[in-house]
Amino acid sequence: MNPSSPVHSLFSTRRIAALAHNTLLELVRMRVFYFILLFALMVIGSSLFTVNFSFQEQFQVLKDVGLGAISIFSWLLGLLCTALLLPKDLEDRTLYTILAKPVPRFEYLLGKLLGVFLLIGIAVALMSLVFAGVLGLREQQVLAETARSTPPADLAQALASIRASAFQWNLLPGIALIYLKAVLCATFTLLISTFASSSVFTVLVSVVVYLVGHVQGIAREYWLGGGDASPLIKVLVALVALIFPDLQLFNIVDEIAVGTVVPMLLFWKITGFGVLYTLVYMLVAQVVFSTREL
Amino acid sequence: MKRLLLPLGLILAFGALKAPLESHLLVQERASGFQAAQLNMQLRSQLGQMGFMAALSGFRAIMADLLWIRSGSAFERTEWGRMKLLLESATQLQPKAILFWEMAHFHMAYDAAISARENVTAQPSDALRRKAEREYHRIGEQFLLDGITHNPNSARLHERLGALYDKKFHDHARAAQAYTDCAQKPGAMGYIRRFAAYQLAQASGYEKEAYARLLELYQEGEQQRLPTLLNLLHSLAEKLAIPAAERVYTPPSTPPAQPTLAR
Repeated sequence: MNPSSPVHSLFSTRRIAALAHNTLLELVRMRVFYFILLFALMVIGSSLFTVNFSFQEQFQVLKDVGLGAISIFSWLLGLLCTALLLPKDLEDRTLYTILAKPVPRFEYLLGKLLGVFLLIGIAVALMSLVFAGVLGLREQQVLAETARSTPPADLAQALASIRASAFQWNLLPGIALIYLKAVLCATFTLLISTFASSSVFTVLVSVVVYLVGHVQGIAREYWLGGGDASPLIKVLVALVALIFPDLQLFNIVDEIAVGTVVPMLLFWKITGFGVLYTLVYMLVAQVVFSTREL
Repeated sequence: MKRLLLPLGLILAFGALKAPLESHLLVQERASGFQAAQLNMQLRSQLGQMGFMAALSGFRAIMADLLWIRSGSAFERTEWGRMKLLLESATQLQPKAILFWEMAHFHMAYDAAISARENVTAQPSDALRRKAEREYHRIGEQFLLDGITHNPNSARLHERLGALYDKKFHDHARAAQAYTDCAQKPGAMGYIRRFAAYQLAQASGYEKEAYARLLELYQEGEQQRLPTLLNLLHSLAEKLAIPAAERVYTPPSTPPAQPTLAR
């Protein structure tokens, strides 16, 4: 080895950051953010649709539609972007160029995945801003209407009631968990794509994982409860409980939207669980990818 | 295929570790008021296959809103039976939404009940109309009781229950109990304790207890000494034959009636 050349480290955060940055740029150039317009239309549309409702109903529908749309768009974005990562790099031969350099496969996967995480993060942040903007605008309109039509003696209570129904900071942990769920689904999609033969297969299997992940809890409770089914059913139920993540655990935003306060300890436990899932699926993806013939 | 055995083994091993933890976390979420919705076959028939899948896939709140909006169109057509089913499904999907329980009870115990009582063309028999009205009162009551089961700290639902027992059931003892429970909940309005005492004063057999409560409120100060409270204190004192020296309030004597001039 040439003593003047820099020593090659086995793990480099700079290399991973460069890969993540490039992945993010690549995805942004694919104009994936156009879907934000669709999201904005949905939220504004639901805001206009509910103008004849009471203010509590308006805010509830608006919050449910907004948070539901953030959830589905962030999941879809993570799924489609991750499913395209490996096949696109294989097709463009970029993968070979990168791996021909002293970049371990683990770093390549991690860099790519972090790029997708960043993209989902930016998308969730933008959608949350649009959501909060529409909700805030509607709140101001309702406040103004109420101020005009309410007797002064009851005004303070009426305004406080409106403010309590509109945007609350308590929604933020719910949005954070939506992001975490999207990140987890993206990691599972990456795991599938490491052995999948096509993007279509990856997308289809990921959709199935998403759907089954939401009913995994039922299978798990049945399996742990020792239900009296046939051995075949028991094996199938056990496989569902063991292989799939329980995505329902991350769906607490519906209750948060109607005012249920999430205890911080519970929030961090769910977050910790999400991070653990993500790390394990990332590790398994690396095990598969490390033995894949390219 | 062989290369997938190790990853599969890793996932299964992780699965065996995570399953009890997931169950534990679910219990904690339920204890904190989350994951309370019950998705059953009735909901499936209301939502359809796709809607049920959507509700299972994390879009429960949106599906609940959809059912709620559909119940609004049932209200416009006065299809009370269909409305009841839609409201039941909406409240099952989103049991933490106080608004759903409150409005569901109101639509049934007030709107549907009055409609049933007054719809002479649909039911000419007065007795049967009254029976239908009482049935809708009970449905409204059940919505509130179920809502309180899911939201035990909701002052609003307890208050509505008190009002329902008072105005529709004319059961003042149960109304007093509902208002008393309400007064202990966070965010209860200041007048609720007075309402509880007023209801108890109207319930036969509770006169002594009602008098004690009204007296307690009276002794809290001027802010509680409202005309209704004072009048009830006086009438209960009369009823219980409280000695004049022990009475805290005596209404000012009414001026003698002016003699009327004969035309």
